[in-house]
Amino acid sequence: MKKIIQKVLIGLLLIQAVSFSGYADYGSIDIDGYYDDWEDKPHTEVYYGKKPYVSEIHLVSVFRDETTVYVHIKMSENGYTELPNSYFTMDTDMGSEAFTLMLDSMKKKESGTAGIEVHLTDNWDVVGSGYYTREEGESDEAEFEIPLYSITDEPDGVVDIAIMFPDLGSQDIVCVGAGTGPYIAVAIGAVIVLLSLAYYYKKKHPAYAK
Amino acid sequence: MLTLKIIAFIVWIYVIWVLSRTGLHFFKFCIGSVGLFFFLMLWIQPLIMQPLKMAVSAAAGVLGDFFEMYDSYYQYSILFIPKDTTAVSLTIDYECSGVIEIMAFSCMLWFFPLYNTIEKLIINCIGLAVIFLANVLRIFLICTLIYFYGNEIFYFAHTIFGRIFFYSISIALYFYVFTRSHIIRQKVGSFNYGNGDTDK
Repeated sequence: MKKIIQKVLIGLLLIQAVSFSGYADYGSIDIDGYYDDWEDKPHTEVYYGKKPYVSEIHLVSVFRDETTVYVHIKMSENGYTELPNSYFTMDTDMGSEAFTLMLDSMKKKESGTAGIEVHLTDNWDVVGSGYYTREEGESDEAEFEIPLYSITDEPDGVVDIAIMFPDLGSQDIVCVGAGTGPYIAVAIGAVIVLLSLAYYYKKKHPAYAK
Repeated sequence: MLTLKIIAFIVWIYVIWVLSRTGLHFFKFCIGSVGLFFFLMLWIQPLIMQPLKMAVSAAAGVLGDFFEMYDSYYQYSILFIPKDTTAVSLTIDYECSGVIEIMAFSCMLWFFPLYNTIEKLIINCIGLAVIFLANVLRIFLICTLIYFYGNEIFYFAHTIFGRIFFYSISIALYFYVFTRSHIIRQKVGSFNYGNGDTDK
């Protein structure tokens, strides 16, 4: 019993040694109309046709956690600089849905930040929200969130997400996971170990001992 | 809930102790390794999950940078693979991090009757490194295939190619640690006149 207690104590010390606490908030996005959360996130270039000049490319970033998909759009510097009310699709491995972005109205030549509603296109339910910012001489910038429950009742199970904005360009913004299928790996390992163990005890059994 | 977990933990230790005393080593292995896996998933997994995801992303990112194929945003556990007109963000999530495999390997090793404590400690460290590197290489292979063949190949790369690669290395690791070693030891053990058991 002493040995077991000793091992448990060593285990508890090891737990203490690997107790990191500063990671929980890494990667979180606040949908608040400030876009600094997106500065260091990867963006996909979105456009139509042959690749145009850099100033005519829209930038879209998709980020996700267990329950929500976050989207950031930076319109191109030239050409279509204003974000329109947009239709877009989201395909996942747990289902697909079409959405419509409805921008709160802003008077012509007005600057500032206003709200966005994300509607399900088929029944017009509001499922998400966000903000967009329009400044004179600048291209529009927007961020919004879509809860994954609008696609499936089991948002944890969503691994692959592809979003497409036909109003902005032909590219899919793809966000995928690549699980190892861990329980299969563990099951294979367990079978090997149990067979080894069975062999080990069989050889140790007095009937087999030489 | 915490009280319940602590009671379950104490009961588990007691059962292990009883099985040890009664010499039921096979049951000790089964209940011990499954129980340890359960408690590690309960208490340790939340602590190491995020650092492990970041470590996998960072290590895979080193290869991506070296071959100039993709970028790692390891703070967010994301690999970003640009390919022609599409870009794929590969998220290193819970199932992708290898945490379950690492814990399962460790649990089975610590209740396997062959090695002594120091040997188990060394083998555990080597095993963790092998699983980690296998996972990093698996991700690198998936990213490489996406980089050259686009997102259309993702399903094949991830579900078939990557997993076969990872499972092959896992099987080799399990074979070397759990099967091959004790066959060799039993052969060598015939020269041993003393009690060579390590599980007592």
